[in-house]
Amino acid sequence: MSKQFWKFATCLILLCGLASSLAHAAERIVVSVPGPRNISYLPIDLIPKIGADKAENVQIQLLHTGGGAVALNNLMTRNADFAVAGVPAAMSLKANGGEVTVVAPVDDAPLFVLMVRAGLKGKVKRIADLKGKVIGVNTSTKSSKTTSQQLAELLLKSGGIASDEVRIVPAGQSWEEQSSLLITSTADAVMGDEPFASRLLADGQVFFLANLAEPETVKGIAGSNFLHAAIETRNDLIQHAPQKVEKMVRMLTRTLHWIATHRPEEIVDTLGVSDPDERNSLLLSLKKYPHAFSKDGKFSTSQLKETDVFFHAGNADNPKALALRIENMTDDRWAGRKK
Amino acid sequence: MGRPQKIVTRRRSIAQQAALRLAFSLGLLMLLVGLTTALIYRIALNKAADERIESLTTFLSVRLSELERDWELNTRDLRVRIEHTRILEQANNFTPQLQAYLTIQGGGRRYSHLIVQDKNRQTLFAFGRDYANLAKALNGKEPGNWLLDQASGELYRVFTEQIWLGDKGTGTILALFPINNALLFQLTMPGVLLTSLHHGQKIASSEGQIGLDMPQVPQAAGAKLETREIPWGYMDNNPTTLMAQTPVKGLFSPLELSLGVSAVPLLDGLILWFTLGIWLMANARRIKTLGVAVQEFSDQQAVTPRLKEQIASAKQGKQDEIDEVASAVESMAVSTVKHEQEIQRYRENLEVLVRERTRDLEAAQQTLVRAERLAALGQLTATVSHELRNPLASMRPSLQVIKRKLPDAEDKARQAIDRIERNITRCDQIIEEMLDFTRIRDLTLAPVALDSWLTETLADQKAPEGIRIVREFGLGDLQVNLDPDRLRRAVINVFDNACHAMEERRMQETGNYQPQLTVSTQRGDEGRVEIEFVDNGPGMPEEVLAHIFEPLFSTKGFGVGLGMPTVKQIMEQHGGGIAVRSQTGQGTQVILWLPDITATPRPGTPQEEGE
Repeated sequence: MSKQFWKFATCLILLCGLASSLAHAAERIVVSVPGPRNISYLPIDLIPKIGADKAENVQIQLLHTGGGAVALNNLMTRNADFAVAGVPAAMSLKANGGEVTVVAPVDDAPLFVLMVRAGLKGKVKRIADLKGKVIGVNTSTKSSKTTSQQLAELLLKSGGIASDEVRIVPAGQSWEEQSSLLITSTADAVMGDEPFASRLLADGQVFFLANLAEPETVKGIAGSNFLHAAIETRNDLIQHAPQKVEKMVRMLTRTLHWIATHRPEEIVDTLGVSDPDERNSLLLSLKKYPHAFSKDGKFSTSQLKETDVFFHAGNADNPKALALRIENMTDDRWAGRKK
Repeated sequence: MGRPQKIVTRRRSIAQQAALRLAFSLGLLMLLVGLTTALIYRIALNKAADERIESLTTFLSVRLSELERDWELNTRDLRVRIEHTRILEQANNFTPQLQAYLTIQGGGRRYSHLIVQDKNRQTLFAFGRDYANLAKALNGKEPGNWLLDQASGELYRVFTEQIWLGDKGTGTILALFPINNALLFQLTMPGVLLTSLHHGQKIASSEGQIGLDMPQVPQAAGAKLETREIPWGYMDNNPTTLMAQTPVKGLFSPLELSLGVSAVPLLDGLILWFTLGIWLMANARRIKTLGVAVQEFSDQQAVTPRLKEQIASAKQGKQDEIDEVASAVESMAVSTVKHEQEIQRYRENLEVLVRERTRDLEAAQQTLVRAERLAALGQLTATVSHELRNPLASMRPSLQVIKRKLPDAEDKARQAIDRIERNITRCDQIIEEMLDFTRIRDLTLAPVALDSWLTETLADQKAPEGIRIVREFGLGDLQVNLDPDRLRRAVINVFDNACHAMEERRMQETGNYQPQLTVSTQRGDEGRVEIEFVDNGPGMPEEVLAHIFEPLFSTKGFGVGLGMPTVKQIMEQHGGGIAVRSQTGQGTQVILWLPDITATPRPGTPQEEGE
C-alpha cells in the first residue's frame, strides 16, 4: 500500500468521525417558562420527561420563572431561546416595543383562579369586597404586564373596583410563592394558577372567588377564551436559527400528542412528582380540566380573535395595545392553523 | 535624392502605444491607489478597533467594578432588611414568612437565589428556582466567590453576609447573582460580543445561546477580530473573566467600499486622462500626422497641398517641439525640393555642357584628323610637287623645242602638242592648288573697301559665255580688314564652282535655261559682312553637301577636290566662315562672311602655324 493510500484512508476516517460527532451533537435550546409544575405550562415540563427533546437531538434547558413576563424578559435578554408565557403578556411586551413572535400554542383554555385566604371567609363574598385588599398576581415586569394581572384588573373592574383601590403584589407562579403569600397573609387574595389553587383549596387555606373555567365567572370577561400559554421567540432567532423554532414546535407537538394519549396518572408519574399533596392536586387538576392543553398544537383563528378582544379589553387605556393585532405577531408556518 | 528603404516590420502607432501605456499606467494607478486605500482603510479600521476595544475594556472594567459593588451593597441591604423584619428570629417555621417576603419583591430583585445557613453552614432556607442543587453544593462548605451549577451550567457570583438568627446565633446569608446571558446582554453594546468564561469554559454570552453555540464570532472575510479578556473582580486567582470581542466592523458595505476605493483612482484616472491622456493622444496624433506628412513627402518628393495640410495639422498652431519639428520638416521639404530642382538644373546644364564639350571634342578630333590628313597631304603635296614640277618644268622647254622644230606639223600632231601643253598647265594648276591648300600662310590684313575690291576681282574673272553675272553690292565704302590675295582665292573658287555648275546644267538641259550668278554684299547678323553667291545651277543633294568641305572630295570630272576646303580655310583664317545652302534643281547659295569690321582676324590654327 502506498503512503498516499494511507493518508487518504486516515483523512476519510477523520472526516467520518467529524461528521458523526457533528451529527450527534445535540443542539441546546433554552426555554424560559413559569413554574415549575404550573398546569398551564405543564407540556413544557414534560418535554424532557418524555424524551421529546432527545427525539429531536436537542438538549433542552428549562429556566423556571415567577411569571410569563419574567420569562419573556429572559427571552428578550438572551437568557433563553424561547419563552412560554401567556399571549396577552407577550402582546403587552410587543406593544411596548419588544420584538416577540408567537410560534405555537400550548394551552386550549386559560386556567386562572382568584382565590382568597381562608381568614377572609365570610368577609369577602364577591369581587367588590376585595376593595382595599392586597392582591397577589403573577410577577410583571416594567415592559410587560402578565396575563394574570390583566385578568385580575378585568375581574376587579367587573366588580367595580378601580386599579388604585387594591394593592397588587407579585405572587410568582410556583407553589412556594403563591402559597406563602396566602399562608402568611402577605396577600389577601391571589390570582392563582392550578394546581396550586386546588391544593390550597384542599388544604383549606383558601376559597375560590372566581374561576375562569366556570361559566359564571367568564360571563363578565370579554374574550375569556383567549389563548393563554404559547411559545414565543425573538425575530432574530427566527431569522438566524429557524431550525430551532422548527424543533421546538415539533417537541411541543409531540408532547401535546403524548398528553392527549395518556392518562393523568401517567402524566403525573412521568413528571416525577414525589410530594403526595402536590401529586394529588396535580392529578385532580388534570382530571378537572381535560381540555386544558391544545390537542394538536395548531393555532385557532377564533381563539386568536378572542385573544385580541381580551387584550384590548384589559388595555383599553393604551393606544399602542389597542392598535396591536395578534395576527401581526403570529408565525404559524411551523405549528399550522385551524379555524 | 534616393528614397528611404522601407523596412517591413509590425507597425504600432505612437498613439496606440501611448494609449496602451496610458491605459496600463492608469490601471496600475487604479490598482495601487485601490490597494493603498484599502490598506489604509483596513489599518484605520484596525486602529479604530484597537482604540475601541481599549476603551471598551476600560469601560467594562469599571462597569464590572460597579456591578460587584452594587451586588455587594445589595446583599448587605438584603441582610439588613431581613434582620429588620426579625423573621429569622422566629425559631419555628420562618420559611413561609421569608418566602412571602421575598416573593413580593417580584422581578425587581437582582439576586436569583438566596440561601440562609446556620453557623455550621447548614442550609436553613433557600429561595430561587431549582435551588436544591445549589443549596446542597454550598452545604457545610466555606462559600467561595463563585458557584458553578454543574447540572444547569449556570455560574453564580456569591456574596456572603453574616446575619442574625436569634437563638441560633449568627448565621450566613448567601446571595447568588447569576452570570447569565441576560446580564451580559445588559452589559454589552452594539457590535460587541461579551462572553463570560469560568476556568476557560464558556458560561454565558450576550448573544444568548446562539452566541454560545458559535465557534467564533462571525466577521467579514479578512477583517480583524479584537478580543480582550477582563478579570471579573479584583480577587486573586480569579477563575472568571469577561471576554469582549468586537470585529473590525467596516464603516462601509463591500459595495460602498468598492465604489469608494475605486472612486479615488477612477477620479485620479479621469483627471490624469483629461490632463495628460487627451494631451498625449493629441500630440501622438500630431506626431502621427507628421509621420504621414513625411511619408507623403517621401512618396511625392514635392511640397504637395496634402503635405502642407498635414504639416499644418501637426502644428495645430502650438509653439512646441512638435511644431518645431513640423516646421523643420516643412523647411526640409521645401529646401530638398529646391535643391532637387537645382540639381536637376545642374544635371541638365551638365548634359548640355557635356554635349558641347563632346561636340568640341569631336570637332577637335575631326580637326585633328583633318590636320593629320592635311599634314600628310601637305607632305605628300610638297614631295609630289617637287617631284612633278621638275619634270613638268623640263617638259615645257622641250615642248617649245618640239614646236619650233615642227612649225608645220600636221594638225593632229599640233593638236597633240597643244593638248600636252594644256595638261602641263593643268598639272601646274593642280600642284599650285594643292600647295595653296596645304601651305597655309599668315594673313596679311589690310583695310579694303570690299565692294570696290570685289568689283575688280570679278572683273578679272572670265565667266563662260552665256552666263549672266549680276552684281548687287550694298556695302558702299565699307572698309574691311582682310588679306586681299587670300580672299581673292576664295572668291574665285566659289565663282568658278558656280560657273562650272551652271555650265553643267546648261549642258544637261535642252530647254530654255538661262544661267545666272548673283553676287551680292551686305551686312549680316552681329555686324557680319557677307558676300553672297546665288546661282541657279543644278544644286547639290544632301549627301554631297555634307562632304563639300572635305579635302579631295569632288563631284567634278577634273580637279583634286580642294577648292571648297580652301575657301573654308581662308574664311576661317579671317575669323569668318562659309555657309552653303543648296537645293537640287534649284541652285546653290554660298555666303562668305567676315566678322565685324573692327574684329581682328585669327592668326591661324595650331597646325597651320605648325605648317
